[in-house]
Amino acid sequence: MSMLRSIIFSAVFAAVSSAALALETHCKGNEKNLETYLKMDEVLFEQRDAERVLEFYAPEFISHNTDAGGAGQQKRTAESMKAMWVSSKKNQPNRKLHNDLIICADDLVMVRVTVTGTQTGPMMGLPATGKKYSSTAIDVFRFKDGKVVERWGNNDSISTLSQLGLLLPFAQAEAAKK
Amino acid sequence: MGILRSLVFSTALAAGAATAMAGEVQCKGNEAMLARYLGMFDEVFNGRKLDRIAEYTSEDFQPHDSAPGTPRGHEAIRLLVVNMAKSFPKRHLTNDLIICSGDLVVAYQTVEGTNDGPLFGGMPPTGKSFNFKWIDIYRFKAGKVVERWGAGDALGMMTQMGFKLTPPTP
Repeated sequence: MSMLRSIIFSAVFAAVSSAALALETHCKGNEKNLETYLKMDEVLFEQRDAERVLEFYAPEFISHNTDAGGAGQQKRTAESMKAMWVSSKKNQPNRKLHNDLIICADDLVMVRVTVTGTQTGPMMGLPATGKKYSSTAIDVFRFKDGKVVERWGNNDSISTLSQLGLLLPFAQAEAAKK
Repeated sequence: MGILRSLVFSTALAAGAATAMAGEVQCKGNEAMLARYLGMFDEVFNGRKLDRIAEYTSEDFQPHDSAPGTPRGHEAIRLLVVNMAKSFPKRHLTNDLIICSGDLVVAYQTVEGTNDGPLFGGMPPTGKSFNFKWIDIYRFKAGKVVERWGAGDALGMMTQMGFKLTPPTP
């Protein structure tokens, strides 16, 4: 009996420890939006196949992202997003996204991702360092008829830039500002 | 007297709700968790009441985005509140969007303020104002926050305060 118990225990333990690395999803009853998000994640965010943007984004959508001091809520066209994915694929070809947590609620899908890569090309106008980075981001997408009509999100670019050594220590930044 | 007291109470509640809930809220069926989130938001994050931290957060609270070596639990929140108050005494948060799902609350916020106090421990204040977005995910257990994930446009904030990104000199 004790051997059986220990086998069961090991099996449960193995399941728990692998689950710690796996994705946590809360999308029961919202499987369709989850499926759309996962496909968009693969095609647009991972492969960065910018030609397929209209498969996942409405021709016009609302973006709330400030992305480094932007204007906040604004209308954007799917077309205007293409350049971003083209540049990302060209400059950071080995950048990978890992979904840690996906939460669905009504027409919204929220995702927490870990972003990893090696900076082999310019980033935010700063030169390639060849260094590795790992940071996080949280995004919210509103879907209508299977397409993104609104988005909110932030990524931890301060951490990314610090790991790459592209962010001056703050005292130096203060001096450089003058 | 009872009526007066209840009127004052409702007014205070309504005022509290107005500051915390400017925006879209999707929390139907999860009103109790929403109320706990809003209570924490008003009292701890905007109100900076250190003696209310234990009311809203668990002793083994786990932040997911802190630098290595950062404490967990009540101390993690206390340090955050105290440090923000030093550098940004007038900082104010507004909820733009709140979503509840299961035991999780997702909040997208606008952060407004001015850098009136010393930055990063010793640098003189820039005196500059900022307005940027932040997003948080909280997990609640028995009415208290046990986990938090966050990401914000801190780079946008730094840029608005006049910092420039410059690669280190070789």
